[in-house]
Amino acid sequence: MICTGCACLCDDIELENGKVHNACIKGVALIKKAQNTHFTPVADGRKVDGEKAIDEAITKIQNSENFAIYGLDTVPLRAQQIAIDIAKKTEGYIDDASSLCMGVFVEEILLERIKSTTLEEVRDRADFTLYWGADPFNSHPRHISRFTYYPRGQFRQKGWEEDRYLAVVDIRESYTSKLAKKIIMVENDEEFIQSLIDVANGNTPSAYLRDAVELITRIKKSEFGVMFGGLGLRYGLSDIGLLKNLLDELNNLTEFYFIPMGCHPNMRGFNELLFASVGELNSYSFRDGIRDSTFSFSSLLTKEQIDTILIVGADPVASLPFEIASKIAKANVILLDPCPSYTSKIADVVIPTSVSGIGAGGEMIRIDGKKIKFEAHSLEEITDEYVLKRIEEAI
Amino acid sequence: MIVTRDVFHSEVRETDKESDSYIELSATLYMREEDMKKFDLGDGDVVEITSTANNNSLRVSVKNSNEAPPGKAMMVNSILVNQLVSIENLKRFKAKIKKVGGNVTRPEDIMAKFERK
Repeated sequence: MICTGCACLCDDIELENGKVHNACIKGVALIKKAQNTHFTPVADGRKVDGEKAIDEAITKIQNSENFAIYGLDTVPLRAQQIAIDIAKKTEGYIDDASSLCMGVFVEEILLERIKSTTLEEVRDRADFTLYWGADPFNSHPRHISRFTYYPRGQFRQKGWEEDRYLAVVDIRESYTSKLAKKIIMVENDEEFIQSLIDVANGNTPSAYLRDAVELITRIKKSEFGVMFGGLGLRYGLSDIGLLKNLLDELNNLTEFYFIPMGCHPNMRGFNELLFASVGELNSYSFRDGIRDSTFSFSSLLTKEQIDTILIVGADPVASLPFEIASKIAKANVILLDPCPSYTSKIADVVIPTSVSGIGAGGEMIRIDGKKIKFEAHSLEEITDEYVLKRIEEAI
Repeated sequence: MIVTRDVFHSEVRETDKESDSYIELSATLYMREEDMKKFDLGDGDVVEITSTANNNSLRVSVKNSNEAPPGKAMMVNSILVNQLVSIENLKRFKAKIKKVGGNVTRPEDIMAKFERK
C-alpha cells in the first residue's frame, strides 16, 4: 500500500495483522490513526449521522454569499477536481497550503522556467544532492534513504560511500546536515545564492567565498546534480528570479535540477489540476476569474471576506498565524477530515472522512510530478470524494 | 527565532494532540548551551516569549539543543508557535524572552481566545 503521510508517497508499505511494515514513524502514526480514530459527525454542536451532516453542509453552502474552499492537499485527485468544480459552480474562492509554501516553486516548474526531474532519476543518477532550507530527516524521513543519498541507483552502485555527495545549506546544524559531507550555515540565503552565481561566473563573491568556491567546484565535478528546496529557502527568498538565475548558471556547469520539498502528499496534484482548469495554481476567485494574492485563504480571512468555508483535510486553526486563524471562527466552517483537530473544535459541521491510501483509493501527484495510483485498503468510512460529490450534485 | 519540524512531534500530532508529549514538544524553546548561559537559563526553565511581529506572548520551557542555530532559538511548528509568527514569514521572527517560571502555555489556552461568530 501507499503511505500518504508525506510527499514521498512511499509505495512499499505493508499492513499485516494490524502491524505496519517499512513505514517511517510518521507513516505508522498516520496508518494507526486511520485504524483507531473514532470521529463523530457534528452539525451545529449536535452529534448527527454522516448524511445529516452532509445535508447541513449543503444548506450552509447554498446560503453562502462569499464561499471559500481550503485545504485539499491530502486528498486524491478526483476529490480535488470535484472541489474545484464546486468552487466554480458557487463562484467561490479556492486555495491550498501552497500559497504559503511551495507554490512559488511549483509554478516555476509547471511554466518550465525551472528544470525539474523525478525522484527515481535522482535515485539512479544523482551524484550531487543539495538540501537547501530543508531537513528531510524530520520532514520526509525516508527521502534520504529511498531516493537521494543512501540508495544504490542504476548508475550509482557505490552509493553514498563513493558515488554520491550530499551538501546541506541551512541556518543551523539540522539532523540532515549531520549526515552530509558538507554543511554551509547561512544567515542570508539570497546573499549565498548571489555568491554561488558569482563563483560560477568566475567572479569573486562579497561573502561566503570559501563555501561558494567549494560547492561550485563540487558541482562542476558532478554529472547530475539536484537541489531540494525547503521552507527555509522559500522564506529566505524575496525574489524567485534569483534562484532561477542560480539554477541557470548551475546548468551551464552540469546537468542540474530542482525539486521542491513540499510536505503535503497531494499539494502538487491540486496545483496541477487547478492549473489545467484555469491556468493558475492557487488563490483563485471564480467570481473574478483571476488569481491574486488577495484571494489567498489567509488574505480572505484577514479581510473577513468570506462567510462560509469548506475545509478539506487541513487544520488551519493550528497551522496559520493566530491573527489570521482566529478569523476562521467568525465564518461558518464545514470540515472534512479523518480525525479530530483544532479546526474541528470550532467547526459548525464536521464530516469524518477516510484517510487517503487506507479508506480511500485514487491517484495523487507526488511533489516531483509523478502520478501515483493507490487502492483503498478498507472501505468502512465515507470518502472525501463521496462527500464532495454529494455537495456538488446538490448545489 | 526559527520554526522547524520534528519527526517525533509529527508522530504525536497524528496520534494525540491532547497528549503530554505533544504539549511538551510544542511548548519547548530549543537553544544552544552558550546562548542559554547568556540569558542565565537552564534546562526546564520557563520563559515568556513575546513576538515583535505581533506582540503575542507564550510561556515555554527551555531545552539545550545543538540543533538550534547559534545566537538564535528554535521552536517546532505547532499551534503554539503560530501565535508568534506573521504571515509574511512563517519560519523566522524576532522575539524577546524573559524567565518567568510557572506553567507553559497549552493549546487549550490558545483555543480559549477564539471568539465564535
